[in-house]
Amino acid sequence: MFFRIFGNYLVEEEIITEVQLDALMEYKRKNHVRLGMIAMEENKMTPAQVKEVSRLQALVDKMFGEIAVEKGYLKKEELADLIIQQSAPYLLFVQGALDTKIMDKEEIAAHLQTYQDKYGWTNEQMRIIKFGSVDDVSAIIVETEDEWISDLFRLVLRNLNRFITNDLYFEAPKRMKTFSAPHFSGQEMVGDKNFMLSFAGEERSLLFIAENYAGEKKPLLNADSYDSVCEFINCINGLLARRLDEEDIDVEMLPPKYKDDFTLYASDDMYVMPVRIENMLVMVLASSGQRCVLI
Amino acid sequence: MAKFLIVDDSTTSRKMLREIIEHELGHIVIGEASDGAKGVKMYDALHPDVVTMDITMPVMDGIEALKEIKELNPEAKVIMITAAGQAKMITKAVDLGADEFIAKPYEHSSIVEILKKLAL
Repeated sequence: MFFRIFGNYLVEEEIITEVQLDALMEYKRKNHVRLGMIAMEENKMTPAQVKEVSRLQALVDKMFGEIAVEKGYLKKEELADLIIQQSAPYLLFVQGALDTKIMDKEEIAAHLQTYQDKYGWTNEQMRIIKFGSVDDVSAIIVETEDEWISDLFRLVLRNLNRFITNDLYFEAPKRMKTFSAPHFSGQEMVGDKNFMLSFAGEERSLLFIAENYAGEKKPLLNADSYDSVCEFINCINGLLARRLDEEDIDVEMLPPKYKDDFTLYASDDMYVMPVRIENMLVMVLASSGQRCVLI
Repeated sequence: MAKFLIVDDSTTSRKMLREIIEHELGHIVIGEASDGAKGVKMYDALHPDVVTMDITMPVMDGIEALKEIKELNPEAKVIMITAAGQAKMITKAVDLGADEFIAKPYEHSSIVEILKKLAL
């Protein structure tokens, strides 16, 4: 998260160029070590065990580490050590900026202070932005007037991070009445409260979600690819429905839909949250209240 | 080796279940149906040992299909696949004799345990 949040700020302020941010992201990609790789390096798991866990990870709702512990390949304390080695993107950013000679430590510190002042973040919020997980960061950035919609957006980000990619960047949701896009996948939940959750955007961004959720290559955004995006949305909505059920709010999940060249009209306002997954833009649309009309 | 029928409108979900049933548990999937009506017909034709049945589907939903399969064979073993929050549907399915439930997103250990149990 930190690479994109701070990196995009530096580009917007014309402190670094897009090309330099790309170089930093490339540095992050090359220097990011997967948990399985660290586990093998540390002789905690065999290559066969890593392969097995990776395959299972593509099928179930669990992180690599959880499955490895469940299978008895890693102890919980070993997993904690590996995660510490893997994390700290802020430190990796500093290391990357120094290694690529984009800026020195003093410049990074000065720009961080300016960034903090511009957005009015507290020191604690800055600590979260520098070291926090997607959950932690979304808790301070994603706010709407409807707490259920905020919850839904946070569930989207958590599951994008879990199933699709950890190279995520998102902005605060904005209110809109209509929204048009070339491609759309969405699902409504109706009942005591009506909800709509949709992903909209260019072909390549929806394909990226489809491929990573289904765990297989998908050359075209066809019915099969849309199905994978819809299934991903269905799972996210299910998680929200579980929370609603705990509050005795009864909803029925309708079959998901997909469409090309669409416009969505909301009687009440809907919220639109721009999300970049590996720098590909996906617009996440959510509404509650009146049902939305898809044209 | 138990014979499974997967009824789910999502091709992605069907592939994920097939992967676990065949590659991890060593059973066989003898048919896949994309809605409840097709699922009932395939049940009648193929006589699988276990059916995995999604709840939210077009044409005929999983609850109606469960009812019709139980009318064909009250001993039919049917596992309902539900999105996490479908509590009301789960209650209906229990009343109609569903044997087990698997919630999406799939939780690996519980799905394996349930499929193993029903395949005995």
